[in-house]
Amino acid sequence: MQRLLFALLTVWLALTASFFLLRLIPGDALSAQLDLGGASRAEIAQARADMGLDDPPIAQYIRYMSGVVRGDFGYSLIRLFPVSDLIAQRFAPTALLALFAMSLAVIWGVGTGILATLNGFWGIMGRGMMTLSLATPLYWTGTLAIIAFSAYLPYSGVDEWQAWILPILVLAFHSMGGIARVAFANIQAVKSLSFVIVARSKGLHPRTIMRRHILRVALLPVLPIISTQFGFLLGGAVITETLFVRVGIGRLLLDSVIAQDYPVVQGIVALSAMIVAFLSLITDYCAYLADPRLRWMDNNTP
Amino acid sequence: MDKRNSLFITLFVAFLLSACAPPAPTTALRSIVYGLTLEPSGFDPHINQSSELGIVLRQVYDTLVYRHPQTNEIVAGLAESWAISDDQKTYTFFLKQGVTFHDGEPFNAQAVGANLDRITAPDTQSQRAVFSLGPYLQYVIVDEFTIQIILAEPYAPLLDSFAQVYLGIASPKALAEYSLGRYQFHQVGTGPFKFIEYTTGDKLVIRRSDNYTWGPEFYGALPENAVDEVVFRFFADPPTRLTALESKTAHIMGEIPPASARAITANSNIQLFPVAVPGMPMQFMFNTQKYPTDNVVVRRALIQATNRSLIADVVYQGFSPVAWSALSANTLYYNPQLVGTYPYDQDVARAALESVGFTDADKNGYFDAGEGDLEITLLFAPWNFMPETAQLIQESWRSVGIKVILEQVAGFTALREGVATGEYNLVAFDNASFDPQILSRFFMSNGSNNYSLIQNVELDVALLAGTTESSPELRYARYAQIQQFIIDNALILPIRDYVNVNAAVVEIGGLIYDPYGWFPLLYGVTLN
Amino acid sequence: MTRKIALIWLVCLCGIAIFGAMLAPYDPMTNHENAVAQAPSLTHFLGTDGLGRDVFSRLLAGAGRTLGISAFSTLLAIGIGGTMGIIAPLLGKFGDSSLVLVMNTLLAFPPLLMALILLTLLGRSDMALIVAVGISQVGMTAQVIRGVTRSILGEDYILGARACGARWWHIAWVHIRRGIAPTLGAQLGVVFCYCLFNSAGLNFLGVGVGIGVPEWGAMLAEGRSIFRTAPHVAIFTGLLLMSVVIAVNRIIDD
Repeated sequence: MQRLLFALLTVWLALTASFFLLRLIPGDALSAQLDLGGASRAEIAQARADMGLDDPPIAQYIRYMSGVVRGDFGYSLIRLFPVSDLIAQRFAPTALLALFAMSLAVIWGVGTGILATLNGFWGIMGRGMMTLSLATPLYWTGTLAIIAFSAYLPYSGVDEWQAWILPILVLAFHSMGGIARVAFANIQAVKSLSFVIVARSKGLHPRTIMRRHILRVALLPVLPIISTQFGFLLGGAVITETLFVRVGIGRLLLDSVIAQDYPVVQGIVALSAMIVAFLSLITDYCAYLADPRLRWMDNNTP
Repeated sequence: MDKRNSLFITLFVAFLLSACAPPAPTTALRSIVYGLTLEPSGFDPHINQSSELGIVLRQVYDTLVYRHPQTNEIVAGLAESWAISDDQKTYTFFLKQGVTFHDGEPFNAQAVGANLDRITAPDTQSQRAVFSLGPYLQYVIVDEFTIQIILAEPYAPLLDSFAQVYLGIASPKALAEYSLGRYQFHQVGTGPFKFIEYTTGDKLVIRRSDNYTWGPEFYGALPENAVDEVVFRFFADPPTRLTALESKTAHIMGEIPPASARAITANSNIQLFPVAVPGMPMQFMFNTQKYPTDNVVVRRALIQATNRSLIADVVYQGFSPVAWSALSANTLYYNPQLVGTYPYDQDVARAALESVGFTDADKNGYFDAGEGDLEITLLFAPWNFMPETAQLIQESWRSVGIKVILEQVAGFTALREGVATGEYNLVAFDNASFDPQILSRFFMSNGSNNYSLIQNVELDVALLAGTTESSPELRYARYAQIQQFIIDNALILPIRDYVNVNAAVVEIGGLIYDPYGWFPLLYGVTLN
Repeated sequence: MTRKIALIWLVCLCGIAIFGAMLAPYDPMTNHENAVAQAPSLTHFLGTDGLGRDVFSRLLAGAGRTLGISAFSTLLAIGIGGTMGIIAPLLGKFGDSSLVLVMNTLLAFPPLLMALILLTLLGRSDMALIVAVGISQVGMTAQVIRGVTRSILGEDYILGARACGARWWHIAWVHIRRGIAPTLGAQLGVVFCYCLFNSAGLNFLGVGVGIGVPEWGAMLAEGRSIFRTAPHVAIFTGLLLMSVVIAVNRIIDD
């Protein structure tokens, strides 16, 4: 219950912070749009006043929040649409892409992390793949994938299922490096801990030790990485969407930030905060299930 | 573990193979993908203002008049003919008969009236169309196929406005049926293509209309193999645009980066269509109120210190010519006498700066100004290869002895605010328009985009006369004089005429662009 | 062995970062008008970029700024994020939830938006850039470190320490520090990699700092637009960046 309250607080804090911070940046999308079309200064001033953009920020904030409480996130300044519609239209492609890519990245990342701890050829391969993922920015992986595979695989849009393959692979490859890196370091460290040595001295098969004892503990730090990366994938999907000509939240965010279409940006921050708070709850719960020692913690706070 | 691994690999390979398999043969529909660049905020021609929307909607709507793609003259569209009253305040349009909208509604004077009502209604918050009507007062329906437009004062560019898609005529029934925000998803016009769907952020689809017989004369007969369907998608990333064409992910695309375009000149599978866009060339406007660009000698010296042909070669790969005037070479009433003004000569520039008292006492390679060095601030947004251009300018002015500060902002909103602070010496801008009246916004004392902060009564009078005078000869004289004034006073540093480098796969035929530069006419486009 | 090579390479890089600009054969900003986007040659060891600038000189001159900004933003991210992550579980349920609230709020801000706001408010400077790039990694680092700290708090030796009456800051400093070392190290490596590329990402949005000033991330991005005609710009810059990533991660592993 307390956690749920804090989750709600996260959304409120993020919204409030974004609301006031955005208003510290001069300019707004509406004036710019009218100016480009050829409106006079008086006409622009009139339009701003009509939209309530000249009211004191506090008054705007109260008006905005009272709408938000009722589930109304306002209208885009230039798109003639309720913010909630704009986001809803684009949410599914981004969320599905993130979900698929993240699932693949977890398997790929943990697998690479384990591989990297081995000696010999496979170890080198694992560490090589890990480094490659960390050392290549997303826009380059994507560009190379398009150059290499666009002749064989359709990659634009979201209508055909084939067009999802490249973006998923590229995004998964990008997220895999961080997961592998943390998994690798922790497996190395856990290997020398007391309970592993006990298990080994009991004569258990190395693979059993890896699966039952090492991974359970070593992968705990990976959990928050997964949840924070997932949040990043939702908000930062802009590069994938731009390269692969896809519809999604990331592009909407970038366009709205550049144009300074405040209500849309705030709406996306609210969505992002909800997802982050939700994932944080889930992560804590998963860690709780995976590591019995945490249960002790919550009953014995210092 | 190993067995399971190999199973995974087998499955994965099978998955990839099935994905790579050639797609099932499509239906007889000749469908092509047209690559747009950025998604504009909306696709309603009467409400939104972007050039991008016109690329799609030029095919969906007819306009009362057209500009002929070869002669650039105004020719008949939905209006068979028109008459202008002696006082230049009343335009009478005689409309074509037998035209129907895609939803079966008849086209007539009432339909035109309904469109004008929508455009001028305050609730519409039109971002462009309403301003293009100038001093519009009202319309009068004379009979079913005759409509008069009444102006408060003469407005020479009116016919030019009626040739643009922003004043495209939509079905009154559809306009009434959908709300202002919703109409863009259900557009109905009279053009060669029907509007099928618009999924925001994703795509627009238009399909050929079967009974289109009322097109402008230059459209001609429908060729064999004409495309039936065009899907528009947003290819926002410039470096991968060419790859999209090569893989036939798209068939036609605009705004190919010059560096990519240069790389494929030898490639026979892609054809290039560089189209010059009329209007104000890509240029920097001098802030005439801020030190040191408040001095006309300094401004002239700066133009001479700029190696514009190097910029045209390096950044634009020779696809765009150097600009010399406030108007591009293919704009109405362009003044060709300005070609070659202020030729590149760093020694002359340096001497000019020294002549107004600048010295380099501390011998650090820069002229001195007050306590420090002579500094010039360039304000620009990251479009049209401005960052590259600005870097070349910075370098060439450095060798003259001027320190250049590059101030890049995210987009037009931020650019506007940067201008509002007045803390810039030069600001980068360009604007598309066939009629030179666009200059009024930028060089009138009270112009909304008076970035050079010029206050000159003589110029104001000339600009005002340019929009109100009727005879082309008089207008030409006015605008030639205006351009001369702008260059004589070095209000701008023209860089290059805007050229949109379009490209298409070799199977595409019959692709032409209208005189406004941005808009293709897809009526006769074929796919072989 | 590989560790030694990595160490030597890092020392070399630090040397280049400090003295690189002096070692450069050409001025890194000068446009060689007759040699635009040229492949490597005797005059231009690693070729020239799209504006005719010597790539080798730009790589040398850009080392300091590239590595400096990444290193400082990494320190900032790990410093703030790590501290928050270690302290949070020690503060009890309410304190923990409050700090998680701050972490999540930071995470909820898309990095691009955060950068735009910070660079507008702080002005365009390298300092602001470091803050903008660093802050965007704080939320993730804090969450990761908090996760590990929580699991360590359940260890026997912490129980023992508590039983002996150790204060929370003593536990944090002595015991937790040891337990989180591998995760913190790995996180350091990951954050460094992200920071290495993120400052160039801001140029993409048009809010970058120092247009044209040599910086490896920006050079890698510029190399993409001329990849067809002059692939060497991206390839050399990419290889160099990769060598940094490999070396840094190799050192951290020990």
